[in-house]
Amino acid sequence: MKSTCTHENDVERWFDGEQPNDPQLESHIEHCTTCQKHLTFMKTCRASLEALPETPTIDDAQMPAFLAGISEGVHAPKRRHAGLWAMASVSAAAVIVAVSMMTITSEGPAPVAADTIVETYSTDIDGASAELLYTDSGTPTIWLNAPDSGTPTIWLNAPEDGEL
Amino acid sequence: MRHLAFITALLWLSGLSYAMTDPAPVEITVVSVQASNKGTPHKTFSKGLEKVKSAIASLSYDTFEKIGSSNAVIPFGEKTTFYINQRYSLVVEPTSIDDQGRIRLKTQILMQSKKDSDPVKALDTVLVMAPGKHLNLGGLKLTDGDLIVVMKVK
Repeated sequence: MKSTCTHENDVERWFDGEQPNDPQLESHIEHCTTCQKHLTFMKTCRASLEALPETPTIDDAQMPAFLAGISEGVHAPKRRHAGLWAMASVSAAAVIVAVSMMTITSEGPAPVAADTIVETYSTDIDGASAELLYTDSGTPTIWLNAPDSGTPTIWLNAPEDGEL
Repeated sequence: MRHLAFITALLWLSGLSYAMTDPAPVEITVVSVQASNKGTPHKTFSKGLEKVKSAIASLSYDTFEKIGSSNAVIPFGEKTTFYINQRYSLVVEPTSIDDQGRIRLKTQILMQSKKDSDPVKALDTVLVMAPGKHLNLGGLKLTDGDLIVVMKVK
């Protein structure tokens, strides 16, 4: 059970400096353990409060700016990535359109270096034959040797590999 | 999410347009020539044969006369008939394009041997033609000389 003393209020005022010179009270404190404990408690509290970091204060002149900052923080829209997405979409669309236009408007492949190949050749004329020859310019020529004309000796150049 | 759908749609449309435009129809030029020997001291080429002169100049004829020429743009898988004269016609069908840009063609020179009878395949070929280069089909008999058909794809 907590003990009390009728002088505790006087001790508090003395501790706060409201009645600094009171020899009678000081003598009481020396002999009253309750007042001594209360005095020790108040000293501990004061020391703890003094150890706290200094609390910033807002003057009346600063208050409007302080409130304006709070309002701005509350009402400012959240940052979104809409701009980034829009930019990415526009860029992708531009690339796709460019590639499509190039594909659509291109005039097709340029003349290729590869040669023309004759895969198969034949004739349905009875007694006739077909052969593959090349002119001096290297132009492949499929020639029909018809029976009524015999085998024409019309070539200035014979095939080099003899396969024709 | 909306942007992702938008980009996906654009990619799909791009692929669709690419698929619709490839392969492009094939442009084919055909020049028919009557080649003969008339005893001229130098080879002579009639007007209109300038572009095919190099392809036929080494053939052992001294006179080359243009019969006709024709251009056609032919889609893949479709046959087109080039009329040469009353006896001969050329049928061309592009079938595919290879990875080097060459066009695979089925070509036939049909010969009407007798009136009211089916034409005969005087020449039946499968070619893989490099764009810009010539190819000759020849040796078919004409009244005065031989027929040479010069083909080129673009």
